[in-house]
Amino acid sequence: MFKINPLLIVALIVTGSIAIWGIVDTENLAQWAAETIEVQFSSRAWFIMLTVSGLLIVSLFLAISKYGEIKLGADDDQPEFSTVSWLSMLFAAGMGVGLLYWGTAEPLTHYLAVSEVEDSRRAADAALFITNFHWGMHAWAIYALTGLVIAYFGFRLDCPNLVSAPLIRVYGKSTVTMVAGWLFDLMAIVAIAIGVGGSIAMGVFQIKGGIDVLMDVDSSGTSMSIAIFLVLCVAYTPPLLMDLSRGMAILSNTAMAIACGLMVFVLIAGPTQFIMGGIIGAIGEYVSQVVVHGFRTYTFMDERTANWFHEWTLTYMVWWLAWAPFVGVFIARISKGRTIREFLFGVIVVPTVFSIFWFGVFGSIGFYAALRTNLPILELVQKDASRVMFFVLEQFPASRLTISAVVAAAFLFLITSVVSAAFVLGMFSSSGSLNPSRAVKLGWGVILGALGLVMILSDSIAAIKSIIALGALPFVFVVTILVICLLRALAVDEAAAIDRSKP
Amino acid sequence: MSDVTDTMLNLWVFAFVALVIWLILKPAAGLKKTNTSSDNPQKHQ
Repeated sequence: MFKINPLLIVALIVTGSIAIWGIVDTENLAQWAAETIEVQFSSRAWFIMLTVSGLLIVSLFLAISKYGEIKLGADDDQPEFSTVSWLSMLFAAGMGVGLLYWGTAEPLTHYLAVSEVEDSRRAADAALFITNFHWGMHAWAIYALTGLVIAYFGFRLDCPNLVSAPLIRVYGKSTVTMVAGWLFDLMAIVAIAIGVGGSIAMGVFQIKGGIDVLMDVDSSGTSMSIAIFLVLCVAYTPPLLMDLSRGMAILSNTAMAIACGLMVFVLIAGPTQFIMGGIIGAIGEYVSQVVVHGFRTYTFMDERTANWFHEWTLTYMVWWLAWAPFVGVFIARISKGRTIREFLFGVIVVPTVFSIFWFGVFGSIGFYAALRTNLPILELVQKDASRVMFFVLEQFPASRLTISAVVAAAFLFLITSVVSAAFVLGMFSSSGSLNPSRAVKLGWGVILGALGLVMILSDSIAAIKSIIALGALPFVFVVTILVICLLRALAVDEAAAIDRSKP
Repeated sequence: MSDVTDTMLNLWVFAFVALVIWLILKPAAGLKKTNTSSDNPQKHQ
């Protein structure tokens, strides 16, 4: 008999209502989200930065401590995937389309802001560092600890794959833990749905930028975006109805391969010495400043700097939190049999090194265009960030091929994100079942599409960021409690390990 | 934003920090010493 899950109903009502509000009055939703998030950011910035830095410190502590030897699974479980394949999959899941969108645009955007107060050459270093900070260890520590909690409780303690499971397992079944756990699951669902909806819109804007360049048109308004969105909906529906987990891995690895190919192409075909210099400089900046920057709140700066901090650093951190339950579940699923140390170094350090190379290549090529040639790339950044990557590629040979490759990679990243997110949402809203029904997955596919459409209609990256930040903010509290549950459980696990080793 | 709103929002955060400290100190009712080797018959119950 078909069993109705109250969590599924409430989650569908909450996310569906946001989608309907957004479709009926996009401007009103965007404005309300922007005002509300500004109030939250203005008064709680310190707490958000403290939380993300705390998560990184806890991750590093677990990785180097004796707890690092504990396995995610039974003591004799072996990893399911090779290390290279594992790293490739987790990176594609965590960053995806954002890398393509922001590769050149983000360092240049920060450069414009910083160069108003600093010397332009110093501003380029600072801009590259800030970008790497946003995409680096702090971001991955959020994913890593969320994934670690889900993997540890799921594989080692055999709990259901739910955000609420650690709380109920550690503190026992009581009215308080059941109600709090139910709210945790609901908050995770809302954060995922809105976060992935935002990524759909960003990806659609990126694809639109590419098609405009390829067809040599300048399609203003949202009609082209909506057309691309409809094609995307048609493309992601069949995988929702079939079990295509292996196919999804292939699509995701193909998108990653295209992205890596582009990076190598730009490095070799572009000003290699300039780019390598940028990468090495960025590594030094990152290592020397990352800890201090993690605690920076810009409290004593002027209002403009504070606004920039809210719009970028805080929004990014909350954006990673929005994706954390979704990416965490995915990373957990592919990490069974690894030790906590292996898991944390793999999830935090390796993707951060890749990000530094990625932004080193695409950021440096952007600075080369801005500082060494007279190309109007800085004007383009201000006008339309989604076209910056294509503008860069147009300066290289075989630009039609490389631009088509970016469009294809963005499309593949989007399909894999939506299908995986619909699966995770289906799982969360079906009591942690690893096989959510097709109807539930399709329902979530529709909701994700509707939320994506809302963000597309807003036609503004700033509005998208505000809506995502608002949807994900409650998850700051949830992640903190999950980490407490993990530490409590690990303490007992370690005690058990010592007991077993006694003769 | 008024100072009152600011204070109220931060009081919520301080209340949360207090909750976290309480959760760290509270006995973990659901946890027993864990034996997780794959031959443990209790693991799959």
